[in-house]
Amino acid sequence: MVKEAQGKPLKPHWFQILLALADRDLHGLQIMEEVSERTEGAMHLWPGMLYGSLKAMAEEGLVAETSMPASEQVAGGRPRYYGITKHGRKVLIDDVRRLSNYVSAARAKNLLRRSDA
Amino acid sequence: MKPPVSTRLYRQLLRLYPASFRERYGSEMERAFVASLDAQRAQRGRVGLLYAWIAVLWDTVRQAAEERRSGRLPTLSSTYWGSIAQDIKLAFRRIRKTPGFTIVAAMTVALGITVTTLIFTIVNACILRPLPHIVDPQELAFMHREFPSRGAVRVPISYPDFLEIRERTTTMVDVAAVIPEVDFLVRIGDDLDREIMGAEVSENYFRLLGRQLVLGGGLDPASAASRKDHVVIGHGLWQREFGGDHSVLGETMWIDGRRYTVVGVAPPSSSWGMVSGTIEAGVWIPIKQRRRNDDAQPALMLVGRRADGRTMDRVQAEVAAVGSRLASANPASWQDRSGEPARLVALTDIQARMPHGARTMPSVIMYVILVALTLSITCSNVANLLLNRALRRRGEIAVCLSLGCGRGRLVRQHLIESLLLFGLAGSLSLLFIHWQTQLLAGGRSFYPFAVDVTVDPAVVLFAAAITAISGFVFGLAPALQATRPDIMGALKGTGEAVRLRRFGVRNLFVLAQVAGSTVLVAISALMARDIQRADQRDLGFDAQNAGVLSLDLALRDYDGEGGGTFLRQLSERCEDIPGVEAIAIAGWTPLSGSAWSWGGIVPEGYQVERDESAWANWNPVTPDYFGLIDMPILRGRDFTELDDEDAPRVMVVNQAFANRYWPGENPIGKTVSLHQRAAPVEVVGLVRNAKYRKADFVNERTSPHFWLPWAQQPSLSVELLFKTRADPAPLFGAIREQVRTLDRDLPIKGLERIESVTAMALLEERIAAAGLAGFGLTMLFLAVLGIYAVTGYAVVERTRELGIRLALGARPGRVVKLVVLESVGHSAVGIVVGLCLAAIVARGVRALLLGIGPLDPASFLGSTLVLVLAAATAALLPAWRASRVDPAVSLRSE
Repeated sequence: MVKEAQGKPLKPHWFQILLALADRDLHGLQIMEEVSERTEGAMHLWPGMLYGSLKAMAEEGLVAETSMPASEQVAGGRPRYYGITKHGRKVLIDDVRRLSNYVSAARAKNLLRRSDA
Repeated sequence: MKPPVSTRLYRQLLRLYPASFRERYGSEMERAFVASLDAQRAQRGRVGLLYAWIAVLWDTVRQAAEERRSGRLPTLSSTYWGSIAQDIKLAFRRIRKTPGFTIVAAMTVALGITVTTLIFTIVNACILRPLPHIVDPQELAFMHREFPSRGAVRVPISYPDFLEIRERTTTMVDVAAVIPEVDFLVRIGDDLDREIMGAEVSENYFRLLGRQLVLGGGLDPASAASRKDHVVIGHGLWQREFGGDHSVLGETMWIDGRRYTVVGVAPPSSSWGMVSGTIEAGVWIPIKQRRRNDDAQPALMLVGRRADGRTMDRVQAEVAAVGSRLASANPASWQDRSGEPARLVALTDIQARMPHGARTMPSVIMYVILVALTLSITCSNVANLLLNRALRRRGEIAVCLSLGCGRGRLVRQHLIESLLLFGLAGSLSLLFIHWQTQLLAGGRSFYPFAVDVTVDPAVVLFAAAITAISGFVFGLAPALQATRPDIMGALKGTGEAVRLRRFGVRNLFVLAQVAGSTVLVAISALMARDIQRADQRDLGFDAQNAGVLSLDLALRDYDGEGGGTFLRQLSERCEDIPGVEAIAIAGWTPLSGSAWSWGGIVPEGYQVERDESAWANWNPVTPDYFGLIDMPILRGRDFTELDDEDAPRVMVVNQAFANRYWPGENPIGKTVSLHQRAAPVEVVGLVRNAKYRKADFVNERTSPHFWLPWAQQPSLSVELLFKTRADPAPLFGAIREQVRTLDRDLPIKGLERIESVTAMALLEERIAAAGLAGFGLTMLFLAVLGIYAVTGYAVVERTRELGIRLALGARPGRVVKLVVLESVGHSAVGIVVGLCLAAIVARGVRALLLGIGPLDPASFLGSTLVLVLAAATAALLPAWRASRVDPAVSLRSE
């Protein structure tokens, strides 16, 4: 169940999805838009990849379907909302740590100046 | 509102996903798709749109495949096709797990399918496929005569009538004539003369058929002018004799002693001209002069090409009218003995190729019956085997049924298994047929088939159809029977305790097979013994170290005197060859297949009855004949040089002649009147009986025979016999040289050891016996398989009973004996019926037997033994299985 978490880095789009869900529950379209904006269009989650990943991540226990927040108003059909699970959050944090370790190492070698960070 | 095109397209794409995925995420994905498209368009315009589409397509294909892969097992098996795929997999596994069963079953079915398809292949090649190398064969009309009372027997037309028909018909562009299947004596270069089959054709023949020649032109009158000595040779002959050399045109060859120039080469597989020929013609020559003048012996078949816009009906009507005019103008040649006039008939190419006539139809029907029998016997035996196996799995089937599996599903499973097995057999049989046709093609130099028997798509389709139909029909029955919902009984192991009913349908079928194979085995044993006995029989003459040279002096237009001179010179020259001890001349050689008979003789003092035709075989011979061939003179004298044409007429007779016409009397000095007007001929010698014809083997009933001195009754058909010190074969070259020296162009019809000639006398019987034996063994194999299947079935049914026997202390050996004896007991009914039938058949084929009684005890006893042994062998495996039943297991199931 947690094979993705131990040692192995997350797939890039799984990382982005988990990151998008880190602070709030979102539906598929919102995830797509968030990722697109945050990566400035460098990563676009096409529908098949997006929903295929969500299905697989739910099976792995990284995300879970949640009820629609009362504040949201969506036109035409009720979309499924997804939230990050406890396990998902742990896997995400592990991966962020792994990445930040790399960043620290790079900084120690003076690859990056403060302003780049 | 109708969604935009892009959305509708994307909806179609979504169908690539598994249904469950599509239902769950489809609408959201659609929205995500629209949003993606909008975003890309906003960002990069049309390029963005294009990029988005490509990306979406790639995304869909990749992800759908991924979804299908990850969800395969649960997804596929829940669909119809998925379950079929599962059944196929299962069937494959079962077939692989029992290789022995699979091989036997597949080979058996393959046998049936091969026979059926092979016959179809030949029919396809002979009838269904369009005629090769002929332009618009559907425009041709094939003409011959028929006598209404004689059915569809095709009677030929005379040359003068051909010219009339060609002249008078208006519905046809032209009419050509062909004399099919003529045996020519052909000599190429300095080679020997050989008999080659060909045809005599009218000059317009090739042009009319539109048959494109490989080389050269046809026998066109325009190019040939008045020349009659042109020949078109067959493709096979060209390849064999001239190595396919293109410089063959202009070469000369001798046909029946005349010189011909090669003017063309026909395409491969050209039969002798008409449509139904199965032999590739070697040569086509213009119709010979003597045929043109001969009105008495019609030999021509006609073929015409319809004029534009003329229907076949009009052609037929016109041909019939022309025919009736000819018949009334020339009643002598158009009426048979009863005065019935012949009709002129025109057929289309398909009709012309249909089997016809009294000789062909019964054999066609026989083939159809044979094929149907073989196919149904092989298939039903395999059906029995399948049932057998299914029954052994009855427990498993019952569990499936009770767990809620539908019976349909189980039937389907069995059906797929049998279809797979039959499919395997079908592929095997295609392989067999391919070999068979290759064999036929390879045998072309021996027997030049004109028919191009090859495996084409029609054949494959036919084999596939036969395979599928028989696989379905013969697979369904066992599948239905094995899955009968007798769940409780089977679960408890007390399934209806069917004892093997002595005369159940299945059993009767196997009994019929046993009976059938008994008949065939017994009859072929009878024939084999008959031939063996005939081989040991004394021929009555000695053919060792003797050869025979056959000539037809008529081919070189010798008359009686010229022929006599030629033969005298030839005899003298041959006698001088070192190694030759004696020379004799005769009209024909005993047991060579030809025999001359003389009807209407009047032996002195013999009262010829009104309906009786007194006859005898006869042969003109020179004085040394009896000595050379070692037929001892019992009384009187041999012919001498003094018995020439001026001397009183004399003859020598055999014992059979004397016994028939003068029983108990001395024949020497008696006379026989051969012609009404000529003086009677005096008998001067009596020789011992011998075998002259095949018929003489039958019941030792030698035919009456007389010999006349060659000088008094010469013939242009000549057999020159020569006795040699040792094997005559090394002298053949010298003999041939002498003939060539005297007459270079005289064809040599044959030059052989006499022993080789007489060995061929019983060839037909040998072939028939071998064929029958082969067929009998195949039947026996099938019967063994049938017995095996039925015994196996019986053993399965009686597992419990046998288990109890074993538990109560029966030794396994006893159980084997029990099962084998019972099976042999059942087969015995079939064997006895078969022997009775064989006795009837043997009486029917008595005419074919050469001397052995139709109820020869050795043949019948021997075949009974073979059948009993076969039945016992067939039951052995199931019996052994029965003896291995674990008593504990079978008792526990009680």
